Amino acid sequence: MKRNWYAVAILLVLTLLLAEAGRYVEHTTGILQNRIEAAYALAVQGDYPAARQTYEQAAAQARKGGWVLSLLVRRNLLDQLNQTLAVLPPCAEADSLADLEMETQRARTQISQLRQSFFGGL
Amino acid sequence: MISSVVRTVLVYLAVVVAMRLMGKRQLGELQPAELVTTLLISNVASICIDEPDLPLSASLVPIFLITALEILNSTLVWFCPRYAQLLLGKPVTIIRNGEILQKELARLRITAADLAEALRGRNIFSPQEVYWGVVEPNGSITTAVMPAGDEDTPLLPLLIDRTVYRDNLAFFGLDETALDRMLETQNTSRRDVLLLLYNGEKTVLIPKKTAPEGTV
Repeated sequence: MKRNWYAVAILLVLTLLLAEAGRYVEHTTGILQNRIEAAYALAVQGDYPAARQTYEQAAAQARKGGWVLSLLVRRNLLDQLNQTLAVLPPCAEADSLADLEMETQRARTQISQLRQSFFGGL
Repeated sequence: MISSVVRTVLVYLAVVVAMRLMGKRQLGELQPAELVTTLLISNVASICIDEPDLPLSASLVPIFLITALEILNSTLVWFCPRYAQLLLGKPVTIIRNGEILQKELARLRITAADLAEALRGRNIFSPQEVYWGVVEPNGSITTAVMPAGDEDTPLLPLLIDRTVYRDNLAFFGLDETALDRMLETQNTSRRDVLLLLYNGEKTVLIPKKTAPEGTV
C-alpha cells in the first residue's frame, strides 16, 4: 500500500507544481504586458527616452524569465516574443510611431499566445 | 543537439522511475489497462524528444500523472473484484477434459490454428492431453494437462476473491448453492475466501488475511 502514498504524493506534487507554474506564467506575462503598455503610453506622450528604457526593461524581464518559461511553454513562441521585444526600443522615435504601434500590437498578441500555450483555452 | 541529449536523458530517467513506481506488474505480461498505460507513457515520452519546440513539462507531467493514475487504478482493482472483472475481464475456458469448446473459441475469435500453435508452444500436441485450458485476460493460454496414472486430477478454481467460476462449478455438477454449502462445512463464506480450488475429490481453501496454507 506504500505505492498508494507515492501516487498521492505524485498527484499532490504535480498539482502544486502546476499551480505554481501557472502563477509564474500569469505573473511574468502580466509584468511584460504592463511594461509594454506603459512604454507605449510614454511613446504616445512623446517621452521617447523613457519609452525606450521601459521597452528595454521589458526585454530584460523576458530574458530573465526565459529559462523557466521555456520549461512551460512552446519555445518558438518565446523566441518570437524576444525578437519582437528586441526591435521595440529602436522604434520608439517620433518618425516610427506607426511601426511602434504595429510591433507593440504584435508583442501583445505574442504574450497572449504564451499564456494560451500554458493554460490552453482556460 | 545538446538540448535533445539532455531531454532524452531526462525523459529516460522519468520513464524508468515511472515504471519502477508502477511495480513489477507493469514488467510482466500486461493486462489490457496496463498495456494502455504503457503505450500512453511511451507516446507521451516521445513527443518532447521528437519536437524540441515543446517544453519538457509536456512529457514529464503526463508521465507522472499516468503513473499516479495507474497506481490508484490497480489499488481499486485490488480492493474491488467486480471492478477488476469489468476492467480486466475473466479467464475463459476453451478446453475441458480434452474437448475443445468451439463456441468459446468463436466468441474469442481464436482460430484452431492459433490454439494448436499455443498448445505446441507448451509441448502439447493434442487437445486430448489437456484437462483444462483457459485464455487468460492478457490473451495468453494456460493449460493443465491430463493426470497420468495415479496422479491427482488438477485442481480447478471455483472461487477467487469473490469471483465465482460458474463453468468450473458446472463441470463438477455443482451450483452456487452447493458452493455455499461447501464453504459452510469449512466454517467460512465467499467474502472470507481468497482462493478455493477443487478437483472433484480434494478441496484447497485459502482464507483471506492468513498464511497461504490451504486446508485440504
